Amino acid sequence: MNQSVRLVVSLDNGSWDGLSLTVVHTAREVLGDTPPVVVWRRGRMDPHLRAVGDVLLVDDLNERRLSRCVETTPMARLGAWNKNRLLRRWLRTRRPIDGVLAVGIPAARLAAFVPGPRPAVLCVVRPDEAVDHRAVTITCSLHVTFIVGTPEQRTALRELGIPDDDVVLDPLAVVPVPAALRSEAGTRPRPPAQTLEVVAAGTQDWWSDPDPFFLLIWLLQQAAAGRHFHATWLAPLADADDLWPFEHERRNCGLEHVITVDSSPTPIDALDRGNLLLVTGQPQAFHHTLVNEARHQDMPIVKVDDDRLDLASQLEQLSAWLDVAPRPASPVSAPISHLVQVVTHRLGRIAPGRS
Amino acid sequence: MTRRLSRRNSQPARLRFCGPDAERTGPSRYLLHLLRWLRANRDVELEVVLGSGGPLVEDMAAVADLSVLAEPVPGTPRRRSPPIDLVYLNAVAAARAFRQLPRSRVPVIGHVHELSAGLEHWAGPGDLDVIRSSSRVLAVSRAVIDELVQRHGFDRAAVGLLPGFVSGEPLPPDARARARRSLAIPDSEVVIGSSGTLDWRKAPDLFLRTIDSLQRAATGPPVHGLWVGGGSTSPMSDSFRRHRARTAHPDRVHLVESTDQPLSWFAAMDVFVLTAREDALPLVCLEAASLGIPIVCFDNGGAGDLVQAARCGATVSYPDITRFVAEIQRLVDHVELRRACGDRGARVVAEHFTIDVVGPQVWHEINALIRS
Repeated sequence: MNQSVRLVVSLDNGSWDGLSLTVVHTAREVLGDTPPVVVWRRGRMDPHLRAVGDVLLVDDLNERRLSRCVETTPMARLGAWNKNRLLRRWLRTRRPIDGVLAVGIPAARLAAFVPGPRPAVLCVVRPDEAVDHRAVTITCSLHVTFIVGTPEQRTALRELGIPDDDVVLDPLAVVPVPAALRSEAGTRPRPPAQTLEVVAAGTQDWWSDPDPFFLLIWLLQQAAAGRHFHATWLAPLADADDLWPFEHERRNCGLEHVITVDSSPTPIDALDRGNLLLVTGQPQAFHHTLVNEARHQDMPIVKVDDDRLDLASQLEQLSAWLDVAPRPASPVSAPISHLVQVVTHRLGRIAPGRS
Repeated sequence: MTRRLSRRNSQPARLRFCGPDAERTGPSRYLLHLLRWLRANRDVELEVVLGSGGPLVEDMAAVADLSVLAEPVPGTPRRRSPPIDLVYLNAVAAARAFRQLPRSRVPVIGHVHELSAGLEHWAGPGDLDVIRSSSRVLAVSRAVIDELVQRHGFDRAAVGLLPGFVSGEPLPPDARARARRSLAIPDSEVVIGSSGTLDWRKAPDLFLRTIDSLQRAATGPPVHGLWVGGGSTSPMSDSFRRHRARTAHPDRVHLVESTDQPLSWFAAMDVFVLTAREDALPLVCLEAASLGIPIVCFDNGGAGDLVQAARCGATVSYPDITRFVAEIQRLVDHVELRRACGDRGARVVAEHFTIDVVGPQVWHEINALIRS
């Protein structure tokens, strides 16, 4: 552990996407302590973040949304213009700050507010984040190391003139949620042998994600011919308003006993109960998290082809698993140690005097 | 009391209709046609109070004193309404407007046009209680009665059935040809149509899946999909366009946005399909049937009752898309079957679901309460 590095985590919003949570936990592993976290916008993940970190929610600056201000104000002016007393005081009490571990490019600008010498910045670019001029703006006055999840993002940064030395292509941007979040994973019973337990997740955008899930599970039930299976839809921290179409459809399709909707804040637990991951809709950061975790668990993954409206061939793929013995109940192999190594190494590089 | 008695004896009854809005939805169109019929056939004074406005406001204002609670004219003192004899809540969602009005001790009819999505999600807290405490509860279909009884504890014997109706305005004889010409669809090709707002409940997503499957089957004449309703501001408008591009023949999927002449577009259809995840008794099904168009729907609402009673198409278990497509294909392949189903539907609608049939039933309910 690199306990002498003083690190602040900066998140550009409070929504659940797995990646933010991963970074907070990784920072905790690195520091050996709860990290200070600045969250630029209120969101559903707030209570969860508060549970794992020393969190400051910064909702507005001079009655403007700070996240927007951060994206539009030139860096040179931003530090001087920081009139958010709460944020200033919060940062002052945590000085000196060696590094900022940011999730999302706008969040990296927290470094401009830090009093005293400019800290180094490690910026994890979200898998679905556009890499644009904002990256150039923040590198004008800060030393930023970008961690990107895809070769396309690396190319985009190169085209913007960011030196290759400052860009790391690393699966950190698409890592699984760390094992620390699996509150009861070790103690939960495994599904009985020969039972298909489908786990699926996506946005609450009905047309894109849950609709093919419901149709496929209904079709699978018809194809199952008495064989037992169960499906869980993961909607972490979703509220009743988000979930009413799910509840309606469960009843409407007669799938009350087949589908469970899991809105708990630790959805990764459900992966441990399942033996097949069904991915519907457009891949999002949360999907990446689950897919990676499923791969680590050797769990089969069926991806619904989003471009096809006809579900017959997809049903074929899915129903093939009805007859396959479930994966062995192996302990979860958490790649958290890999993450810790990556971040420790990077922080060691950006703050050599303190490591 | 004296005033009310003399009013009943010597003056026309004044009826207040409350509605959620004046959008081109089934309940609002039902209300508009009912107002017109009452104005033309009964000696009554009509008053309409809406929660919010919509494109039918002017039409309603032409036959009734209309006020929209969400859009009071600035600076205008609220006019005291003359005493009323009865309140008619047209849909559970109308209870919201009703509760904003001064209380009066007149009989209330609660006419429920909603199923579970409307009753449990869109209705505000207490809206259903307003219906429950009404002097008379009516439902547009047996599906709604079942829902009220099984999930909300209503007494079955206390809920009456009062269905929707068609206005019966005839279409010009060349309506089909004109609609098809506008859409550039040859007469030899098949049009599978549906109608509604582009939202989750109406399931335009299932409609596109259906059309895609029919287009891929390609066993007969080319198949077109025609959706009438919705607009660029609908919640699923973008998704509709995106998914349309994924059908086998996107150029054969047509969207006619919200219109005041939906029937003139229905005229282009060969089969009407209702993909809705639930629908109490969609007016669009009655309208399609009145034009002699066979209907395929799911068994999750009031349309199934109509289709089964009239034998004017097919009802499929929700969400069995495969059978749904097969039933449509059967009608596409057999012109005679299509015609026979269509004729039966038109006959049943003419006998049971026109304003001339349902209007007197509504009046009977109103009159009984006023007299009591």
